[in-house]
Formats: sequence, structure tokens, C-alpha cells
Amino acid sequence: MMHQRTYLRARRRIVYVVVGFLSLLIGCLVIFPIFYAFCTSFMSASELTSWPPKLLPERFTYLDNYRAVLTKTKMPRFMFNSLVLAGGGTLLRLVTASLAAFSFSFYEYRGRNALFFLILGSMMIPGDAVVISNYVNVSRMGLMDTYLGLIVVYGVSATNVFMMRQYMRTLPTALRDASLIDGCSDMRFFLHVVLPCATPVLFSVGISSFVNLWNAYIWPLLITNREEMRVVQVGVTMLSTEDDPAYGRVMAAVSLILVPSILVFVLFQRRIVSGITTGSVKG
Amino acid sequence: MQRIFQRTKPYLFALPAVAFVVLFTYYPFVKTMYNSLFSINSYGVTLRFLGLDNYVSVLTNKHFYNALLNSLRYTFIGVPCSMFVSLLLALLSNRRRMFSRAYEVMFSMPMAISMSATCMIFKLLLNPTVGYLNYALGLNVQWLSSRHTALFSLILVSGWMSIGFQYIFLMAALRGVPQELTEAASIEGAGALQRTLRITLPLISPTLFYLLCTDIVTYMMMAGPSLVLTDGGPFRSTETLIYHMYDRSIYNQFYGYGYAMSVIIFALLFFMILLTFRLEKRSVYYG
Repeated sequence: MMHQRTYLRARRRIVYVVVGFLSLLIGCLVIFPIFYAFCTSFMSASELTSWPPKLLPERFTYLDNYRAVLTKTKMPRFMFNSLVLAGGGTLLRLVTASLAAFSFSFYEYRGRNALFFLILGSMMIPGDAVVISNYVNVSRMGLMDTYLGLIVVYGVSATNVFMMRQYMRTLPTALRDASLIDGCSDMRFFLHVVLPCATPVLFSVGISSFVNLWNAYIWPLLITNREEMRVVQVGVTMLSTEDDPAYGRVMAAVSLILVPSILVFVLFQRRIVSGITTGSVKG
Repeated sequence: MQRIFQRTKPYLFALPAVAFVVLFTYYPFVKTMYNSLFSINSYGVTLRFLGLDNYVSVLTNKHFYNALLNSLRYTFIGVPCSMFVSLLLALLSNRRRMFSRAYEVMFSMPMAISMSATCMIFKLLLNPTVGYLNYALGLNVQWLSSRHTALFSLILVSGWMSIGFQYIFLMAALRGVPQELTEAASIEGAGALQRTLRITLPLISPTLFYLLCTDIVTYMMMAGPSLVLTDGGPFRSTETLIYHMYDRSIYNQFYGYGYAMSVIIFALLFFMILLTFRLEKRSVYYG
């Protein structure tokens, strides 16, 4: 009996280590493309085209690709543009979503549910189904090649509204009664009581929105023609030409745009995961 | 006056969100349907009523059917394969083990990588001569430049892009499966495979269903990898529905054609999702 128990425990211990180690190896395989991008960004053109292809660069201090990306291309400008798009869009989304969620969770009024479902219903219409109309409209408003044109179609996200409403509904309505009695105006109540209480959800919605907008490709591609207005996601695909693939340079640019998203992802993984799975996973 | 303001206040709070939804989703949607019945010039100006002519020109264009077939292939191969891989990864990391914090982050990492960055990485990785993949596998495949493998290569790239997201959802669902159930089954003598098939999978079927729906939409709507990696080629073998739509409308200014195609794609997707919901009735278990 005693013997069997130690045997079982040992077996469990072995499974714990072996399967864990195996999973780690598979994990390395999954992130191999990212690793590959970082490695090749430190390779010179001759290293990159040598046969057999190498995995590790000769030295990780070869920075010519990065230097070239930052000085010879408009990459810094592209990054700035992306930052404006992602930052501005996220801010706008947080404002519209939190105001709407506040209205839906603290007031009783006619048409409240109708408005809520009008917003949620927009999820049924995929962006690509309306992109031509939006393109024609926005460009006719003269917003081609402007930051406003880049951001304006991202003004509200139905999922953001939904998640914030779910969260705000958990706040006690007594909060509102108390502040009304104290003579607090609705706007002050929203800014000084509701928003501080909703920081966790603002945070997770904000992160996922920022990453989404930072990674947006098709709309920025369509709505910008001038090189100065390109965002990184578009710019990075245009660094190579038919004659000069410039792989090293492209990989340096790719690594530069990956660093922020990977950092955010590793630091806030728990929060992002709970943010996107809330309300949609039932297991 | 004060009272009117008090009563309209909640509407004012909801107004910005509603305005954006109406202006940039519903209005363009209605306009798309309306304009699909008209002839549109290259400036996007509506000219005259055509009836269903735009639809006829889409439905009689052989490149449309080519694009439709490509999108269907892409979806029916890509979605099941990527979901299968993600499911395996999720099952593998179901229990806490050594290094589990590390490999959980690794499995979900592809989610953080943008479409265009992924494409640029795979462009080098899949390069037949200087790329690492052919060398590592000892193959000599023209991944992106042969009409026989290009679509398959795009499926590979998109598969990699979608596993992070799928993995996160599946893992969250698996963690929600009560341990007592699987333990009880194990005491009754059910093997690991049987436990997975008979207990775990039915219990996470709502999540599987959710992912199936979202992925069908994503894959049917794919255009990015085609735009970045292959330009729809070689020989239109990677021209998907949305790619074809952009190509005709925005790059060649046949807006009427594009509007009609938007409506057709929307209807097609709607129909596919309805079919999926039929499937839900039979095979999804809500405890």
C-alpha cells in the first residue's frame, strides 16, 4: 500500500516535469517565427543570403539594419502615425463607450434597450461589408490622408460598450442616490465616482483596443495615399522592392513594431485574457 | 427648461456612441445596398438606376467564382485545422505543470503579432532559397510563388495568426470544466481519450461553437495576407472574395460592382452563420 502510493506520487512527479518540458518545447516551436524575426534583424545582407540559411546571427551587435530603418526610411514617422491612430482611437472609444455604458446602466428611460441593441447589432455587420461606402464617404468629406480620416471609423466599439455596461451594472445604484442627495451633478458623478470605480475595465478595454488599432491594416491602407501618412503596419510591407528585398531591414522594422505589442502582452496577459473572454466563455 | 434637460440627459450620454454606429456602420450599410442598384462613376457618384445589373455582372464574372472557391477552400481547410491545433495546445496545458506560466504565454503569443508583421516574417521564412523552412524540412517547395501551394501557404500563415486567440478561449473554457466529472469518469475506468471525447469536448462545445462562428467570418473575409504576400497571385490562385472586391472597386473604380459584391458577401456569410446555428441545435451542449 505504502509502496504503491510512493510509486503513484513519483509517476505524477515525472508527468509534471516531462509533460511540462514537452509543452515548453512546443511553445518554442509556436513562437519560432518571432524568434526568427529577431535573429535575422541582426544579420547583414551577405549573412542572410548565405547557404545553408543560418538561424543565429554572427553577433547580436550588428545594428546596421536598425540604423537604416530609423534613418533611411520613414519608419519613425510611420510609428508616430500609428501612435496617433491607436492612441487617439482608443481614447475616443473609451469616451464614447463609457458615456454610453453609464447611460445604459444608471438611468431608466424610454428606448434605452433599443439604443443598446442598436449598438450591439453593429457587430452583425462586418467592417469589410461597409468598407467601400466608408471609403467613398470619408474621402468625399476630404479626410483622405488625415489623422481624422484614419480614426473616425473607429469611433465606437460595440464590444467595449458591452463590457463596460456589464461592469457598471455591478456597481450599486445606491452610489448614485447618495451622490444625488449630496448635490453632486450627473457629470461629476460620472467623472469622480463611476470612472474611478471602473478603472479595471477601462484598463483592459483600453489595452485590447490599443493593440487592435496598432495592428489595423486595411482601413489605413485604403485611406492614406501619401507616404507621410502611412501607419507602421502598412509601411513595413512597403520597405522591400522587387529588386531589393532588404530582408534584414524589414526584419528590423518588424522587430521594432513587435516589441511594444509583445511587452504589453506579456505584462498584462492575465488582464487581456480575462478582458476578451469575459461574457463569451461558458464552460 | 431644467426638467427637459434632466430628461434628455441619458440620451445625450448615449448619443456619441449611437452617432458613430449609425454614421459608420448602419448608414454605409444601407447605402451599400441602395447603391448596388445604381451605376456609379469612378468618383463614387451615383448616376442612374440599373436594377440588378451590378449583381448580374458579379454573378457572371468567372473571377468572382474563382474568388469564392478560394475563400471557401481557405475557410474549410483553415478553420478546422487551426482549431484542431489550438485545441491540442489547450488540452496539453489544461493542468498546471512545470513551466506552465511560460508556455501558456508562448501559446497565446501569436495573438499579439499583427497581420502585416506576421506576413513579413513568413515571407522570409517561406522564401525558397534564403528562407529557413525549406532548409529545416529538407524540402524545395516554392511556397508562395507556385499556384499549387500559394493558397496552402496562406492557410499556414493565417493558421499561425489565429491559434493565439483560439487557444485563450479554449483554455478558459477547459479551466471551467469541473474536475469532479473527469475524476469520476477516470475512477469508472474511462481512458484519457474517452474522457476528452465524451466529457470535456461536450462541456466546452459552446466555446467551440463561438470560435467556429467568429472564425468562419474572419476566414471568409480574409484579404490582408493576399494583399501583402501574393497580390492575389500567382494566376489568381490566392484571390479571395474581399481581395477581389477591393481590386475591382477601390483599385479599378468599379464601385457598383463592389457594392453589389459587398451585399452578396454579406448575404453569403449570413447564410453560413445560419447553417452553423442549425448545427448548434444538434451538437452544442448548454449545461
